[in-house]
Amino acid sequence: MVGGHGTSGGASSAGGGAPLLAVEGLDAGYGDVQVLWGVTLSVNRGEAVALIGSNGAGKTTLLRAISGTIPARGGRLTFEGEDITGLQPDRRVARGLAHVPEGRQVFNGMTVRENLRMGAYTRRDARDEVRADLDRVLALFPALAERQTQLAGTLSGGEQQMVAIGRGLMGRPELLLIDELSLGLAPVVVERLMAAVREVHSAGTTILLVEQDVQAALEIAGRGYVIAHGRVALQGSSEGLLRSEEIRSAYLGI
Amino acid sequence: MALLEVEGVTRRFGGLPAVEDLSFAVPGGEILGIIGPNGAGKTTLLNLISALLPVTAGTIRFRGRTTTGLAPHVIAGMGVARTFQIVKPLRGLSVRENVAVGAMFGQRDGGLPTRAARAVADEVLDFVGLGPRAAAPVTTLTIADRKRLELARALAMEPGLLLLDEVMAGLNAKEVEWAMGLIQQVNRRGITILVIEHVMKAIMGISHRILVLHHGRRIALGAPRDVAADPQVIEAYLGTGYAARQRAGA
Repeated sequence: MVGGHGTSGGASSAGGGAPLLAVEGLDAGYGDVQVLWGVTLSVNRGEAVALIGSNGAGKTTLLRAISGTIPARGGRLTFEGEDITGLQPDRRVARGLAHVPEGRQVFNGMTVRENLRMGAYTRRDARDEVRADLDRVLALFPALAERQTQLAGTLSGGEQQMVAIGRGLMGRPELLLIDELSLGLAPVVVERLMAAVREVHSAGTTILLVEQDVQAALEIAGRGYVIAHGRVALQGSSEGLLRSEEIRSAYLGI
Repeated sequence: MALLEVEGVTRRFGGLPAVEDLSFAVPGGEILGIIGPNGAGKTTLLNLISALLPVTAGTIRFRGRTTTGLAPHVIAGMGVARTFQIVKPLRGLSVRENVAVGAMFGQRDGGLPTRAARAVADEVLDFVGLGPRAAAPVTTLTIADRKRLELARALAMEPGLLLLDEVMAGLNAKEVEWAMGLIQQVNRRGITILVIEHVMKAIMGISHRILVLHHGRRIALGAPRDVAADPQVIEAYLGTGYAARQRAGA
């Protein structure tokens, strides 16, 4: 059991109440360059949802706008029914929205344990709760348990990815945003990480997963959105998307 | 004889090959699209052709003449122009002056005198739709207009070969459509074009052939429709699992 809030995990249950996360007409970009154009999507509590699409499509930008590491230029973000569009990133973390960034971005000069504890930085609950979550993360990733005092910068890529996921979980997120878990990692390592994500999901954490590897992403997620050129090009159930010819054309333009 | 020939070209950074043993030829008059996942070596390839980077091995020829080992300005003077992903106009100058610089220094046989360069600039600015902004300081241009300016600077060199690196990044759908039309018009003027673009619909729509790079190697070269159906290309873009599933006919 990791980072869960006791909600029953697994299949999507769209019925009843507002979605956990709603993105409406989101515009975002960098400097003069607009990357996202009116993106609308939603994630329900307990779901695992995939964002797929070729490189440069805007997937990472979308996650950054959701976690608040870049501002939204237009549109609205609601989390648990409340408008978070103007909220600082740390306030979003405190509300239960954690971001596992692309390329891991662990604190190289800090130990594994320190990195994980940083994930709980915004928490105001009891110390032993945090300690219990730390134990859960270390149980989820036994490789990290053996390396708690090692500097994160000296870890392998796969271990650093474990630290990044674990750090996200230490914030006790309702929603975990995961960007390109598989980046630069060997297939066997990716498989192990995916299994961990599946475990986190079935323990009750809602997941929004960005991934270039379509099959891997849609195996974990119940449904997905295909992002192309900064817009939602296609959406549907994972099964439906995998069977659709359109997904290939959304990636390859033909 | 092809206009551009790339033969066994390799470029390593440290030990890491960014482009590896790459060969292809571009006949005059073609639009060749270059695609590939992040880090495939696309921009490095343009940097090698324009000699911003030296090759580690291999030969590049333009109009039959070996260009590897020549300085970038010499290659530009032979008729190879390029645009950059990150546009860097000359900030102190007007739009017209920026374009005139391309005509003054970039053209064959040493470039044009000032007055003739201005005339070329005005003609090119009209062509890309920037005519009304000719006197404006470049700092006042929108991103879409800066992309037009980037293209205009290259066109003012009156090149035989134009290398375009993501001219459509950051443009909206309408502007992308406009850019596609413009590239085709440039091509109809007789200019051969190599174009890197992430907007797949656009590049697949305007290219005569598509070169697909993955980890610095050529994995496909052919008509857009054939390339999009190529199992290796599907695997590079959509992942091994998805490709296997397609092969199994699921």
